[in-house]
Amino acid sequence: MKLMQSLKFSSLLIAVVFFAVSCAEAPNKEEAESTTEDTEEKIEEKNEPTEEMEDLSFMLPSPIQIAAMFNRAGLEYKSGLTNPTENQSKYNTKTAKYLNFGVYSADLAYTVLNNQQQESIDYLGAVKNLTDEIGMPSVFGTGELIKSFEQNIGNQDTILRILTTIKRRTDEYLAENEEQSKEAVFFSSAWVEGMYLGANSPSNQAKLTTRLVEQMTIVGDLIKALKVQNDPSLDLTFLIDGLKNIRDTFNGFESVKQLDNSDMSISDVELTEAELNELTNQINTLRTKIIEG
Amino acid sequence: MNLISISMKKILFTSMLLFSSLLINQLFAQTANCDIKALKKEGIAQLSPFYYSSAKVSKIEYQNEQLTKEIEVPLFKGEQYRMVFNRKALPQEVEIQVYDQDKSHESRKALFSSKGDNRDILYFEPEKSKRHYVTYTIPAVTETVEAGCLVFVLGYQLTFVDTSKAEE
Repeated sequence: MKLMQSLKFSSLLIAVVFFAVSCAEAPNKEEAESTTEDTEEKIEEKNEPTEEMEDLSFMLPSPIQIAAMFNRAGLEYKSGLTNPTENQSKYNTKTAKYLNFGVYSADLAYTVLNNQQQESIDYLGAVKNLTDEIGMPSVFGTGELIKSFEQNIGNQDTILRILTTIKRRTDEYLAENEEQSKEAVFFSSAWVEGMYLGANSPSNQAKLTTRLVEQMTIVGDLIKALKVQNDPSLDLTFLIDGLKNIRDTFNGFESVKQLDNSDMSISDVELTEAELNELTNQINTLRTKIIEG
Repeated sequence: MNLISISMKKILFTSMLLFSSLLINQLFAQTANCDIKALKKEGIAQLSPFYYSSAKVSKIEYQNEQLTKEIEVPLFKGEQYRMVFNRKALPQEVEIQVYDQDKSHESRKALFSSKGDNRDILYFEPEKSKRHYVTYTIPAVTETVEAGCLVFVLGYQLTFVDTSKAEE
């Protein structure tokens, strides 16, 4: 009898220990974050990495930094160039919401860097609305960011720090919810909008062209990152095709082809006016498709 | 019968204790290392005065052969950057190197190496901003070593046209 009791007790204890271990092995948010981010990097070992492995082993730049670079290159503010905030009502699909979150983020950075205070507040509102609709309320929290933004609207440095906080919180949200790969979706549309603003600026194009050309170095990475999205509810085909058109157009320019036979780097490329117009047309076409929802 | 019962109890109890302690050890080994949020936070704290750009957490698994991971980092011309690496959650040292070209170039040059540096948090500011390649060399192990995490945070120096100063 005692033996039976002992066996029962032992079995129970072992079961409890197993249960505890099983629970501990279930990924918590932080571990999930690690797992998600790690899907972006694969062990290379001695095998040739597959396309997917290579695709995601890179860091995406900050769209705020890109906007600041364009700003320093002399990008002037042009009223009416950004995507009107009224367009929000058109974005009824998940794809449209995700893509225009990126677009409005780029517009927000553009208006902030050009000291357009009311427009900045309007675009912050548009970004916040889309974060709510996408299901990322934690990015703006209880509203303290909006309040701080409005209170410091005249202080560009503080405002840019707030934008950086929004970016960091978005990254954190995606990582915690195993959606790290979505960062490429947000970034791609922000990138297209940034390129649109740069290419259509009334500023002296010579100053900006170098920066626009430099941005072309990351198009290939964006295409690869978008291709490996595994969310069937996102329709990114037109975006990938549009980016491919931009890449192929650029690579087809004579001045770019010459790079293969010289020691020049891509930032040394000087586009002709016709080439720049052709590139601008490709960017405008894709941007129109994105903001039309 | 009583004696047998007592012996069985002792055996069962001892086995159970051993088994439990093994499982508990394993449990701690799996969860003790990677507090991702804390590791990232520590990395971001080392960025100042640079602004946060992005972060990447790599799970480091040790095997019986040396492994490498490579991360491409596009850096834009004329910009200033800081790369922060937090390797506090690594049970065995992983060498971090930053190269000017990818692994297909035999003549690529290491611009930074963590070799000989025992600090947990390291940072590197590239002199020239162009595409860089961060490589982690994971040493071969002969015994099982729990996985760890390596956090890489990238920061950039945000400068912009200050119109108020320009007007002065």
